[in-house]
Amino acid sequence: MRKWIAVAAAVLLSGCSGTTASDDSVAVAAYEASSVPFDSLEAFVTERPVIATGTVIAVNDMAYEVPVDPDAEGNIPGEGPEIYGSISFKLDTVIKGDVKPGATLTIVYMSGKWNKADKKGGRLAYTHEKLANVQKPDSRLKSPSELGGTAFAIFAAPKPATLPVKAAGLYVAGIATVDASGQLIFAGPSPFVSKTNTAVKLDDVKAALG
Amino acid sequence: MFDQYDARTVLSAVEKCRYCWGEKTDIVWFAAAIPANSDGTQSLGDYVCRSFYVSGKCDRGRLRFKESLTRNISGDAGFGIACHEIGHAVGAEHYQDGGCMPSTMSLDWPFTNVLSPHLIAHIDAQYG
Repeated sequence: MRKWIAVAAAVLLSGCSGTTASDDSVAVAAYEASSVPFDSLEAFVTERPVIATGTVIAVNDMAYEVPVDPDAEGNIPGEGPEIYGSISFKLDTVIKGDVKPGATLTIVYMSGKWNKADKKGGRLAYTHEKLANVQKPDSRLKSPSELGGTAFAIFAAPKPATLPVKAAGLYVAGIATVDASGQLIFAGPSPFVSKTNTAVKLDDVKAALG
Repeated sequence: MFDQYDARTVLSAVEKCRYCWGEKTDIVWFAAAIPANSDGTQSLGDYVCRSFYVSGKCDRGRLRFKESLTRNISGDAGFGIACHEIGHAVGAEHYQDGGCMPSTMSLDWPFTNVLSPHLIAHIDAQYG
């Protein structure tokens, strides 16, 4: 294994100096996560326990807060809590999974972080490339009225144990808008490689499940 | 910065040891058990700002490599991931210009391990 991966390191870049942020300031930053797509649509839908369509009925940019472990690698004493946002969908159709049409499915994502443990000094608000169809450039989520009943395809899985939000019944998901022809439009890179290099429709998702 | 990534930028870098970062640390990076992305896709690494200045600029960023995958990487792919995530840390976004900043990555793709001249020019303009 390469040394540069095995050893935790801090890189000092030139010109680092600054002042402390004010209590009410919000800095917007992109959460950059690399993405290795599934080899095919079939592999993607097989991996997702719940696949449904629905509309957004509620959003909350700051639904949950989780203190950070100051002893965890990469953290320092005095770091502020992480903030998680939620998006709730009313399900219209269920293609796969143990959920019912009409039910509410809520997904969570890391939406930001307080600058300091006492929440003074402002907060960071993260934008996510793959949530660009529900998130504004300033990181706030579009309201249900702003989304205007936009149909979404939701490729969800129960919240993993590694996600520190304690609340039960939550999911994580990849989402795509569904246009009038049934075509899926993912924000950011597609989660799968399309072998046919053509647009994927909801019917293709159903067919991929066999 | 002219290092093993062959990136010729105006940045200078000093590596410090584990747990010895201080007030002047800009980027903390390490291997970690990064969970899958929300859509189930694997992530080879991620970068996010963890604290900021009143100006809105990032004070300290966290850069992680997925430990379970990077341990098995051979050839230049590991350097490509490092180039990609450090590129984010100095302000580069995903960019499909043949450099190390594609929007999607794969262990099988022989993607380059250097920043493109275009992105290097942007970094130099920002920090020079």
